[in-house]
Amino acid sequence: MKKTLMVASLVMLGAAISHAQITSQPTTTLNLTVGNEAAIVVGTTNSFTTSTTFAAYITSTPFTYYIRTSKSTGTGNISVQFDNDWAATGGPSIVAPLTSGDYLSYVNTVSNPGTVSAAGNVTALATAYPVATFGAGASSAIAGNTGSVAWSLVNDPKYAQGSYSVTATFTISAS
Amino acid sequence: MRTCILFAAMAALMFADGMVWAQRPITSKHQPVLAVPSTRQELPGNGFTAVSELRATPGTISFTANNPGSTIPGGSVATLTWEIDRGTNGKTWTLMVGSGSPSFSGCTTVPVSAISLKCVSASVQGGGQSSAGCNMSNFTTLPNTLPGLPVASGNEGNASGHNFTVVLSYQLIDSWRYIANTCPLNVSYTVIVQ
Repeated sequence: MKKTLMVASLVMLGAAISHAQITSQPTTTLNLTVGNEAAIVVGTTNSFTTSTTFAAYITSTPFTYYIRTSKSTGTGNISVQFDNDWAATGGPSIVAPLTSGDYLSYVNTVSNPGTVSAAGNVTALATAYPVATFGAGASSAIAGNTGSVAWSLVNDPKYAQGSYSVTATFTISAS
Repeated sequence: MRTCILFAAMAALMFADGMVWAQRPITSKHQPVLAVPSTRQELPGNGFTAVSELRATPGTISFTANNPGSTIPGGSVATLTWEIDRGTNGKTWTLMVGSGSPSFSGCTTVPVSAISLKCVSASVQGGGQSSAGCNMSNFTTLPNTLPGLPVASGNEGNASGHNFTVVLSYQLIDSWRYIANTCPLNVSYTVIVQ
């Protein structure tokens, strides 16, 4: 009899509590569309230097990139191109080198999620030279990820004494 | 026989206590009743607080994340409406907002914490000492737990019906960490009446 009464009391209490619980909840769906975005911040390129007489002139261009590509089909890339030749005559030239093989060559470095592109020589104007590529679902760190292009220019004795400059334009894209 | 009577009395007392809880918690030590019926519901007996259907409009609020590092406002505000009938003046209602997911569905790189919300306005129609006010007038991170944050609260008012309206504003912090995609997140609302 004692056990029966205790069980009954618990059941009755449980019934009372459960009746008080009403739990359905309406919702708002926050629908988010994250777009493809990319940006690149190019750092300072120091003047070319050479270690020994007629050794190649070298310098590098650092950059920080930001990117996010589409989850399933997205791609992205970083490229660099020269729209104009070296300023002033008598020195290095992209389109008309004083000596065949007087290239401005480059070697790329890029951190994940980028994939580094192969090194090469700059031989034409208005041509996009690949620096890095990105696959689907790539996203950079909030503070960006880094990369650089190491430049090397043949130190041809035919170059006239003087200062020369050329402008490289970096481009990043995402889809 | 004496023992049997004692337990019978205990059973009656426990049941009575449970019924009081079901009707209306009298003291703060009782857990509040979650009163968010999908249709108008009333607890049994006379004098029970009734809360009508809690509505959230629009059903969907859109965000277009196209500027990483910036704050993206939602395409519209959310408006919550409900009615409390047979309330008691001095008793408090609270609107809670939260999400049961840690991230947007299909966008695991976008955490719920990317969303923040604030109460834009809270109002009541019906008089009778009822009141409504915002608890969060500044943007606060949306929690990934339920029932979530108390965004608005007020006085139930007296026994007559009161129509409550709360307007919420959402925003998203865009980030390069997010992978481009389209994905939803459900935000749930709960009204708790004492």
